[in-house]
Parts: sequence; structure tokens; C-alpha cells
Amino acid sequence: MGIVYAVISGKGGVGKTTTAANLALGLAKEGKKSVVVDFDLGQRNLDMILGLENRIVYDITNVMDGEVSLNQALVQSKEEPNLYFLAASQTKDKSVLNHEKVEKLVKDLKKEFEYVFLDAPAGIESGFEHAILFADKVIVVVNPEVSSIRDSDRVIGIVDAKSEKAKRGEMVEKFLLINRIDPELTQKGEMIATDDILDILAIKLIGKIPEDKNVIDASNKGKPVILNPKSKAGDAYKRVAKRICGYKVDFEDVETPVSKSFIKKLAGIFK
Amino acid sequence: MSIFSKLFKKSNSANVAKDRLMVAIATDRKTTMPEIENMKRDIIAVVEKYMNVENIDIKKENKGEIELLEIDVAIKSK
Repeated sequence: MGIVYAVISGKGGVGKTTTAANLALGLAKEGKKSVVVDFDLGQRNLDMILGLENRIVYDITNVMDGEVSLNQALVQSKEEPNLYFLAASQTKDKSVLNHEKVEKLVKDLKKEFEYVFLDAPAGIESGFEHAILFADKVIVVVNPEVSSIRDSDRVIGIVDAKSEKAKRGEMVEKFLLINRIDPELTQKGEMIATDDILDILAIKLIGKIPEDKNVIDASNKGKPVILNPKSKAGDAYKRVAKRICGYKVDFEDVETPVSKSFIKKLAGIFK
Repeated sequence: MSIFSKLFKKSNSANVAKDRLMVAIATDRKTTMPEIENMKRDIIAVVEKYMNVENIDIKKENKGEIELLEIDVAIKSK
């Protein structure tokens, strides 16, 4: 049986889809059969990030309504044969989601795959609660800024109250992934530091992803940044994927600007 | 964090953000739990059997792996 990770966040636009795509790809590269599901119905996005938008024939709604089999709807990545993808429907109607249908889909995915990543809608949107219903673990994506941190505390609360595992009295393991860390701002004390975010949210850290222009380039091309060997963010995602596999990977210092010379550093202090 | 930024800790906007978040989230956690109000009522009813309650405050906190329920009951002095 596979493990289901829901990738969640409080507010939108913090990098949930990018994270889900890169982690699923990272695990596939580690030799694990992985699938990533776009659970954001009506706002299909993951297909673009993965560069698979032209290969979708059927989507999640077709599968849940029993019109096609799961295998008919799954799209296999050309670049990484261990990676599969299930698209969201483009219809706005989220009423297709119901408890039984989601349960069956997740169960079927767990049978086929070692790792199942659900790219959830933002916490405030409908559909969110369905994405976390049958999650074994959740990855909370947060940016180091106040609204994102505050909203993620609220969704962590929802996971604890509404997921099936929580209802059975079990713990849903929650991991924090801090995305878009700006080394220079953190250094100057103008961006909330990792330790402070961990203090506030009190969940386990699984990754720190630095701000990286390559992420935009990656989404332009439909090739997740983890495939770019020169990308800092890509390297950071690789480390997260290894941690998910169970390897002990130390947290790297992504907060210290690399290019900064000593003089510049001194100048920065007195700014 | 460099020695300099530690020295001037309070003036950093990141620290201001942290302090504001701590307060905002503590308030959010309180308001998102309607059951707390009911619990307060029940506890007051129990304690009132034996002594007079001045005030009651209930806090739920996450401390790493454990969740902590803190109940403060202030008693009226005679």
C-alpha cells in the first residue's frame, strides 16, 4: 500500500503545485512509482507545470464518475517512466467530489503506487476538505510572510479536525515546507527566519526552498525545476524527496546569500 | 543571523512579524473553537459547587508534538 501525501496551504500562490510536481518527480527519480493528482477542480494547473497539458484525454471527474478506468486516465511522463499524473477537470463544479468517490479513488491509487501526491486547492476553497480526507500525511507549503503563515495555522487545524485519520483518533503527520526563502532579506532580518516559523506553527520541517528565478523558467518550459541541475530550488526539492524516502539529509543553509562578498555583507549590516 | 542583527533584534521587521503572528494565531485558535465556550460553562458549574469563580481562561496550545490545554480558574477571595 502506498502513502498518500496531501500538499496543502492556507492561501493560494505559495507554490503548492510546484511543490507537488517536483516532489512526485523527485520520488520517481529515486525509483519510486509515484503519482501526482491535481485536486484543484476547475483550476487545472499541474498539467502545465509538468508539461503534460497536451496528453490529457480523461480527467479525475471521468474516473470518479466511473466513465473510464483509472489506468485510462493516468498520464505517464515521457521523461520519467515512474511518474504518473491524473488531471483535474476544467469544470467549475466541485459538487462531483463526494466522500465515497474520493475514498475509492485514493484507495485505488494506493494500490498502484508507492507515493501518491494530492495537489490540494488552497485552504479557503471548497474541495480542500476532500483532498485531506484520506491523506496519511500532509505537507504544508508556506512562504515566509505573515498572511501565508497565519493561514497555514488555520488549515493545520482543519486537517486535525476533519481528516478521516484524525476522526479515528490517529495522528496525521504534518510537515512544513518553507518556499521562496530570500537569503538576502532573511539575513537582514527582514524576512521571518525558519526557526521562528517553526516556533509559531510547531510542526516538523521537511524542506527549505530558496527563491529561484529558475522556477519561472521551469514552468515556462513545462519542465519541473528539479530537472535543472543548476537550480538551487531544484537541489532543495531533491533533498526533500530523499527525506520522504527515509534518508537522513541534513538541512542546508539556504539563508546565506552565496554571491555576497565580505564587503557587501558588511555593507548589508548597516543598511 | 549575524552578531549585528542579533544586537538590533527588536528593530528587525522579521521580529515584529513574528510577535504579531504569535498574537494573531493565538486569537485565531481561540475563536475557531466554539466548544471552548461550552467547556468554560461546564467547568464554572463544577467549580462553583465548592467555591466562587472570579474568572476563567482556557488556552489550547501546540508545543511541538504535544497539544496542551491550559485552564486558569481565578477564585474570588472572601
